[in-house]
Amino acid sequence: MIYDYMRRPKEQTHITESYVSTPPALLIVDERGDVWTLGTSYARMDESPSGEYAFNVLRSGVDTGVYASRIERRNGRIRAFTRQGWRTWSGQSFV
Amino acid sequence: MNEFSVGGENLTIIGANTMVFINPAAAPTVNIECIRMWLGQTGTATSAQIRVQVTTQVTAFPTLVSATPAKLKRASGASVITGGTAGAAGTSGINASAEGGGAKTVVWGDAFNNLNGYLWVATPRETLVMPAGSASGVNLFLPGTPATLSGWTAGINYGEV
Repeated sequence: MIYDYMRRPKEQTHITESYVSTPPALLIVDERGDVWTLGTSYARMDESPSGEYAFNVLRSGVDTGVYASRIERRNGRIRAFTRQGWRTWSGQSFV
Repeated sequence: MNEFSVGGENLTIIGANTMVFINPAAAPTVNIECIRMWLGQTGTATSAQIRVQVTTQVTAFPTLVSATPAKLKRASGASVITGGTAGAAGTSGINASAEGGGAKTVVWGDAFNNLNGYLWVATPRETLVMPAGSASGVNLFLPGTPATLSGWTAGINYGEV
């Protein structure tokens, strides 16, 4: 399910500060105005970081194809904590 | 497990601070396992810290705007919870207009920045389960009234177990 808050707003009002992580934040807004959220589709436990649930990572409501337990904005980069560790958004995909 | 979502978007807080309320049905039936809760707002771009509490509440329950649970899995049947305005057993609602006199018991409290919003997702074994017939509901609650009342988003996702 895609909720309204997961979508890109009509007008960008702010950029999320560095070191903000979702959860516990609901969303992260980057310099491009994209909204980063955790979706409601969750990964099997063997595809999740140990001890945590992982959900699909959404970029302005669009699935990026990556499951992560948290998303973080650090030094102007978006990164996601996955079963394989931290992966950083390159502008087109998580690497 | 059948999973459902109760919530609202672009809400204007109207006199009480219960954002979402779900009251399990009378026993014997399924229990309600809360797996995700969230709060956010778009009403202001001015940063502020907001307190949040997850509580249980016994009767008298809040007066609410009825909210029917939405299915998260297309093949699921209907939830045992239906939309209701009185917070009665087996009903759910949002954006209370009156809190109701029933005692609240805080399960946990937290605070968040209003620009970032608040998301709680259960880690394994830390879900919040409301048993059927518990005579109390789960309440996503703002202990303080925010400076900006418009543009609020709130919701609880739950499974029936």
